[in-house]
Amino acid sequence: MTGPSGVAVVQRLVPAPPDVVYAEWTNPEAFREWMCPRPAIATDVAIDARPGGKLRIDIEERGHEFFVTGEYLTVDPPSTLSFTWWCSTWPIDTPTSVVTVSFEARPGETTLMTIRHELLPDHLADQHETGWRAIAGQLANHAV
Amino acid sequence: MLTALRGGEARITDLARDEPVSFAAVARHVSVLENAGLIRRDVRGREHWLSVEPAGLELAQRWIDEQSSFWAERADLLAGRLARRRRSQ
Repeated sequence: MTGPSGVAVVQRLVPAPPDVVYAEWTNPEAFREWMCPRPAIATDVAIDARPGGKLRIDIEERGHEFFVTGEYLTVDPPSTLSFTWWCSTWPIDTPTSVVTVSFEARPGETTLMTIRHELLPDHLADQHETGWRAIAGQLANHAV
Repeated sequence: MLTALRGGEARITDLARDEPVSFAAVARHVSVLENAGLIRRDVRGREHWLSVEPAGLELAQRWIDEQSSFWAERADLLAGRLARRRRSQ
């Protein structure tokens, strides 16, 4: 589903309470299970879920290696988690993006999970350039 | 802002009038969108006219579509994993 403002939004009713669903996003072992569907394999997952903490997933798929990197912005268990997200397969001039996941309790021990993924959120626009330049810099360091 | 520009060209002043934020905030946002290749700036005399860069917008839309299907697949996997766990309890 694509929202009118150009934001990717995915919503699911998930059969577990918010704290359990939230933990699926911050526990590396759980995260790697659903984040990398076969034949992709998460070779390494590092999650430091606190504001300013880093996120990194190293992935191998059919002999190709790539990674996702980000930084946690909002860490508010069990209701909200947001982090920047940049994938090494994207064109180098792609600005970094922000993923915001919210968890709302629903009857029957279920959770309405909403994932919003934005390329250029207004409130972060002025930090943006430095954000993706920093990531490009990290990439350059890796290449050395 | 991109939606506002779909109607045609506009100046930063015009955009700032329609949005509940300051002129400076709109100007900053404009320069980010410009750097990202999503909008184009034409300087005529003392006025800066902004318009949508169609190729850039198409790329951005493709990116949004890709992310939507990426997260839909992950959300289904996560929901399936928790459903299996609930059944086994």
